[in-house]
Order: sequence, then C-alpha cells, then structure tokens
Amino acid sequence: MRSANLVLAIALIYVAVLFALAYVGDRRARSGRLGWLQSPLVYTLSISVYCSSWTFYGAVGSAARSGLEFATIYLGPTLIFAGWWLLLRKLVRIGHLHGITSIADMISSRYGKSAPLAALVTLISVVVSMPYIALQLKAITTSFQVVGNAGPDPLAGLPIAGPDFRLGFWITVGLAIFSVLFGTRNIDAKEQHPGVVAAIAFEAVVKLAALVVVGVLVVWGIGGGPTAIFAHAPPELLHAPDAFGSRWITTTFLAAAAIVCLPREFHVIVVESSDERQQRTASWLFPLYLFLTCLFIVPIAIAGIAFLPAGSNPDMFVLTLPMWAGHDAVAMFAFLGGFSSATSMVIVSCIAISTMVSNHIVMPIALQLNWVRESVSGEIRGLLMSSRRISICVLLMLGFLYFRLSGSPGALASIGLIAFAGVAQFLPSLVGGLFWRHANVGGALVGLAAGAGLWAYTLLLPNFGFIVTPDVVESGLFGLAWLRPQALFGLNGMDPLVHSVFWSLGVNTFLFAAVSLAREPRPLERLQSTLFVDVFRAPADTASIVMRRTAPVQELSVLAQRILGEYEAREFFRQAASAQNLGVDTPIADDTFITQLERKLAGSVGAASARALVSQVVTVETISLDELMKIADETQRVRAYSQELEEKSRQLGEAVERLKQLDSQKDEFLSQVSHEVRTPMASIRSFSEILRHTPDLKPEKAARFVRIINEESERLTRLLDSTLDLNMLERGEAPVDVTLIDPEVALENSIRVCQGLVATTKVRLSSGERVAGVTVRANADRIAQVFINLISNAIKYNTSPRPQVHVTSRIHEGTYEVLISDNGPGIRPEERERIFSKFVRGWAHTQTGASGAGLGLTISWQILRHLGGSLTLAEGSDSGACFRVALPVTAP
Amino acid sequence: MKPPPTSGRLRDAAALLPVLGVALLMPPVIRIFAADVEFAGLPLIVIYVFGVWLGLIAAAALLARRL
Repeated sequence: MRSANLVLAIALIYVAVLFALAYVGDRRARSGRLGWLQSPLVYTLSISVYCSSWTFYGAVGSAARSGLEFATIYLGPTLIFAGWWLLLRKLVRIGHLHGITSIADMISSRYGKSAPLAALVTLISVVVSMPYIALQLKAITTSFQVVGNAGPDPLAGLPIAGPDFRLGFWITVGLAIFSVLFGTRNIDAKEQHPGVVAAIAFEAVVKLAALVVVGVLVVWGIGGGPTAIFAHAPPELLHAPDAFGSRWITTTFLAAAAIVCLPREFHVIVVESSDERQQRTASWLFPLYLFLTCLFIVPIAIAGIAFLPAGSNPDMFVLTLPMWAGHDAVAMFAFLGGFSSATSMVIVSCIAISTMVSNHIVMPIALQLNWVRESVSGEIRGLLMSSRRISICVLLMLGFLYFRLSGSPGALASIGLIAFAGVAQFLPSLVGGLFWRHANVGGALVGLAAGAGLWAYTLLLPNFGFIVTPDVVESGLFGLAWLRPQALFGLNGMDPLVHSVFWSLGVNTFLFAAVSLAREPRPLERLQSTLFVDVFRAPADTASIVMRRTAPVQELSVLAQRILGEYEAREFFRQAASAQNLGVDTPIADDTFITQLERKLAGSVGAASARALVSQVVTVETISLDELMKIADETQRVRAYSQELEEKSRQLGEAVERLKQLDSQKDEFLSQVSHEVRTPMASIRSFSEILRHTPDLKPEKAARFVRIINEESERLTRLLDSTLDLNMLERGEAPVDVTLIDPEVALENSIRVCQGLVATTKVRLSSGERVAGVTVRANADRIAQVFINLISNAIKYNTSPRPQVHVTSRIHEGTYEVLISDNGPGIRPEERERIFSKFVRGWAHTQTGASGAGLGLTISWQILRHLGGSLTLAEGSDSGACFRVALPVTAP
Repeated sequence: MKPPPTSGRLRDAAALLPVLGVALLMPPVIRIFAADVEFAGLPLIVIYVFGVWLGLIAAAALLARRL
C-alpha cells in the first residue's frame, strides 16, 4: 500500500496544514490577539527546533554506534537552560532593548555596530549552515526512499545502497519554495514571525509524539519491556572503556554553545521572545522536552541492532523498526515526525540566515553602491525581500552541494557536530561581549576569523576531499607534516573533533582576549559595551544622552518611509510628536528622537545598516566622551557606593552590638553597686532605729550596736572608695606617680602587714625563693595595694584545715614575677574567665563568712595594666589558687 | 514588568545549578557510575544519566517558580 506517491501526498497535506496554522497565527497576531501565541508553552516548543532530523534519526544512529554519547547533545542545552538566570536572561533583555534581529546583529551591535563584523558572522553562519542543511536533506531523502520503498518485501531494499541525489535535488527545490513562502511573506518591524512560531510549535509536538509512539512500540510491542530490551544490548555499547573522556566533554560543551550560537536557536530564543516569563518556564520545560525526546533513543538503538538484518543503516532505525514489525501506520507517523523535524529546522534556519544576509551583506553593499539613495518609497523593503528570497534558495542549494560533494556518506551526527564546532566560534565574542567591558571589535574580528579558518581547515574541508585532499590529511599542506589538519603542530593521537575544537576555539579565545587588551576602543564601541554589559543597571536611553546628532526631519521621514513603509513610518512620527507635546504632526529631530528612530530601523535592517542609513542623513554627529565616561563611571560608582554602604552598615552593626554590651554592663554594675550598698545601709538603719526607739537599752547592748553601725559605715566607705578608685583607674585618671622602685621592698612590707591578719587565725604565711636587686617602673603604694589584696584574699578565703599561703618571686624572661599561692578551695574552671571582672567573687566566699565587694581583683588587675604589667591566674595549680603578678624589669 | 525582588541565596543557587550539573555529568564523577552493573534490569549508567537529568529539571522548575 505504501508507494512513493502516497508518501508524497501525505507530506503535501501535512505542509498544507502547516500553512493553515501559520496563516491563522499571523491573522491573530495582526489583529493583536496574540494570546496563546505568546504563551511560555509555545515559546518552549518553538525552541525545540533544536531537535532537527539529526535528533529524530541521527540520535538513534549515534546511540547504536557510540552508546550514550548522543545524550551530550541534549545535556549541554539542559545545563544552559537550567542556568538561564546567568546567560539567557541577559541575552534576551539586551535583544529586547536594542531590537536585535539576529546573532550577527547582536555581536556587531555590541562591538560598536561594526559592519565588517556583522558580515563576517553572517559569512560563517552561511558556511556552517551548509553541512547542517545537507544533513536534513540527507535525512529526508533517505527516509523518503526507505518509507516509499514499494515492492513485495519492503525490507528487501534495506540497507539502501546510497541516497538518491535526483530525489534529493527535488526535495531541495520543494523545501526552498516552502521556506520562501513561509519565511518571507512579510517584513515585520520587529522581525517576529508569530505564524511561523505557531507552525513549528505544532511540528515540535508531532516529532515528539512520533518518537514516543515508536519508542513505546519498540519497547513494549517488539521488545517485551525495558528489561528484555536491555538484555539484548551488546556489552561494549554502554560500557566502552573511553566513553567518558575528552569527546564526552567536547560534545557537551559544543551542544551548550550551540543552543545560544546557532542562528536559528538565537532567533527563536531571543528574537521571537516577548517577555521574561517565557524563559522562566522554558528553563525547565525545554530540558524536559529534551529528556522525553531522549528517553527511548537507547532502547530503539538496541532493538535495531538486535532485530534488523546486519548492516542496516542505524540512522533509519526509527523508521525501519516499525516497518519490520509490520506497523505501517506507525512507520508513516515516524516519517512525518522526521519530516517535521527537518522542515522546522530548515524554515527557521532560512529565516534567520537570510535575514542576516540581507541586513549585513546585501544592505551594506547597496548603501555603498548608492542603490538605495535615489530609490523611491518602499524600494528598500523590496530589496530586502528579494534578497532574502534569493539567499534562501542559495542556502538550500549550498546545502545540496555539500550533500552531493561530501565524499564519505558519514553518520548524521558526525555531520551535525561539524556545524556545532563552527557556530561555537561565536561563543568567545558573544559571551565575552556580555560580561567583559574591555572586549572590543578588533579582538572579535581577529578571533572569529582565525577560529573559523582553523575550524574549516581541520574539520570542514577534510570532509570534502577536494581542497584538503586525503593526501593533505595524510602528510600535511605542501607536504609539511606540522600542517596536517588532524594533527596540527604535531598534536596527534586526538579525536579529530576534539583536536579541531581545541585549536580553533583556543586560538579564537586567545586572540579575542589579546587583541582586545592591546587596542583602545572607539567611542561608539565604548558606549555599546556599557549598554550591553550593564544592561540591568544603565538606563535604556543612555545612547541619546551620549550621542549628539542633528538631522533635517524631512529627510529622516523619507528614510523611515523607505524602510518601514509609509503607514508605519507616519505612525511612528506621529507618536513621537505627541510624546514631545508639540501639537503638530512633525516631531523635532532631537537626540532622543534620532536614537529612537535608529533603533526602530535596526529592527528591520540590523544595527549596523541602520546606523549607516541614519548617518547618511545626519549632518553633525559627535559622541560626547565626557558623558560616556560619566555613564560608565556612574555604574561603577553605584557599585562602589553600594559596597561602601554595605561596609558602613556592617561597622554600624558592630558598634551597636558593642554599645548594647556596654550598656548592659553598666546596668549590671549599677545594680550590683546598689545591692552592695543596701546591705550595710540596712543594718545601719535598723540598728540606729533600735537605738532611737529603745531608750532603756542596756548600755553594753547599745555599745555593740554602735560598733556594728561603725563597722558597717566603714565597710560602706571602703566600698565607695574602691568604686571610685576603680572608676578612675578604668578611665585612666588615677594619679599614679611612677618611679623606679625595688618591688621586693613593697612585697616585704605587704607580707609584714598581712602577718597581722594571720596572727588572729591559724594560717601559715610563708615566703619562698625570692630575687634581689630588681628595679621596675611602678608606684610603691599601688604595688603594695595589689600584693596586700592578693595575700589577704588568700588568707581570708582559705578553708583548708591547715591553711597555708606561699609567696615567691623570680625573674622570668625579663619579667619580674611574684607568685602568691594558697591551698584553699581554689578558683573553679568556669570562674577563671570572669574572676577579674567587677563584683565577681569566687565560690570560696560562700564557704567562708568573709565579706568583700568583689572589686579587689578588678582594681589590682587595672593597676597592673596601667603599670604595663599583668595579673593572671597561673595555670595547672593542683589545689588552691595561684596568682601571678608580672612587671617588666627596667634595669638588669 | 518589573521582576519581583529576589533573595540573593536563590539567585546564587540558580547560578550554581549548572555548575552542579557539570560536576555530576562530567568525568571523573560520571566514571564512578560507568561500571558494568545492572539495577532492576537496567544498566546503572543509563539510570544515572537520566536520573541526574530529571533531577536538574526538577531543581530548575523549583527555582523558576521562586526566582
């Protein structure tokens, strides 16, 4: 029942459906009812134009030949979309603000609207599209042959000896007509094609559905479940020893680069997008589409190897497996899926590249040769339209030539990778331009030219065999061994793809960076660099502040009418005039207006040509370097300022913390002082009250009360003295006369004073090893105060049954040290930290009845600090506490 | 349309997600899973690659909702 005619008929009906969809889409768009056409779902589906017939047929072929490597082609874009926040968001925002029409326009706009750069990018895109379109032609031709293979046993013709080039030619002609009708029906001011987007979104659904249907049929219909299928897998297929080496990394990288650098991908992602919501959804939905596409690839490949006759073309397994199983309808659906994937790729590529050719090659030449200067209204539009139509035909013919001339039949995937390596050359200029301020047009031109040249020599040309013949591949250009295309400069033993990518991208990136650093950018380059790199910070109308231009408004109007068409031009001028509040229909041609007009024109003819056109009309143009520097500085300054603010707020935060701490310390101090004052005050009050109200008190009792009152007031005085003393010490106001003294004298006096304390107790105060003839810079009274405080503490709080206090002194590393140790209860580890703080008393005071305000140690510590010494708690004393007083020795 | 204010941590996570993906899918990590081992009748490497892929999609979807 299958015949070539039937297949042809079905294909034509399918194309008619696509036309209907595009027509409806465009109708809706023109009446402003975009609705679902701008939905994130349709946007995501249109991005899947990435999955051409390379994916539909070639992925299975690749999986059958080299296992999981096919997946890298889809993992690369997954990584880029998962990280959309970094790259895609910026790309799309710039695309919107500057009315970018293509990747060539993007790169040339960034580098000062350079026309040569735009032309170079266009040229490379055309060359790269040759193998890529050839791949689609080969896939459609072969699938047509396979599925239309009439005869008693359709499988007898498998494998097909080779593609039928006559058939291939007519398919090319058909595709050319199809693409011209589709892609150049109108020139939109914004270079958007809602109708085409609707059609390719539909095709995306068809190709995914076809692949899933074939997959389900193979896994559950033919194979008997996933486990059974994988049981058929040849052992080396999924476990090749070098599967995850340099080739794995290279193909992933190339695919990641291709998803932004391929002209058709750039077109659907950037040019056709309408708002950021779309990328937000696509960031996960597009990877999901790729995931579903790849899900059945490995099972289909395994089934093809296992069930089809040996030597079958693995690139056609998607088609031949359903045929082999006798499911003609599924085979037909698979054919339509493959047809969808190829046609959508060809249409969008043709739109993208023909736009580039007309804007960046034809227009500049036309301007140069004054074709358009004298032309009448609408002529430029006509020129653009016909140049686009012609370039689509030329593109497809070039693709056919490549298909015809490339000697080896080659797998689909290997042809596709040649194209990927070609477009990856755009990556340094594109990404570098988005993030690196100093990247300039010199670097971009030299890097791109060198990279593309190396790519052509090492990867593209060896595939043809007539410029770089097998002879040259074998022994190098002119017989020079170091010029061998697949072992350049003696770098041999590498996979040809990895080798080519290494040299071309390496040299490209190096030259891009080196030339950019060596050359000072022109003012316009600097302006564009600021606008692109700082797209999220710089105001969008910066250009009009910087560029000062004057032009006769009449000539601007003529120019606009030629390019935009009469109606749209008049509308644009009317809107501008009403925005200027003039009350007339003609606006004043000020800087803002000229900049707006140039941007509007750029949406039709690209930034470089728009600038050239406007420059013809403009009489005076200056770029204010001062203003430019100011804007560049502004963004820098804003950044520096915000950093400064952050630092300041951090410091403020710290200061607030410190103040809070001090405040709570002060509160604590006050409450402790009042607490300490209250106890003696209470007893003084109560005893004096008793004395007053009890006239017949016994004299000895009265005498005891008076003594208590006296003692308590003395204690109060001491407390207040200490507090004052401490306060002065802390604020550094304590009058301390520092002289050269012998500290041993002070120590001896202190011990003698304390002997008096000891006399009433059973404490043994002993003096151990002592030094003599030491001189320190200190105040004898203050030092004695410290010693007495420490020794009396050691005596007072000693609860040992045989209490002892031991005092020694020594010279240790140029420091005079006095150690006062006891065998009392000691200082608990948790108290060691705070023992020198105000009002802190060791737990020992709870063991004895001894009174104290908890200020002695603090005062001693402050005194020593003032004298340049220190008071510390010696570590590791077994029982009791050991305090160490240290003072620097002045004279030896 | 002004994007809603986004927390810095989420933005950093969005920027680091592809880095995580690269680390998981490139050698040497992927070589760990290249061993000739089967899991429920399917080769481990196939489960691993597709599993990481699905994980990235889920993470991207979560981030896209909250960014």
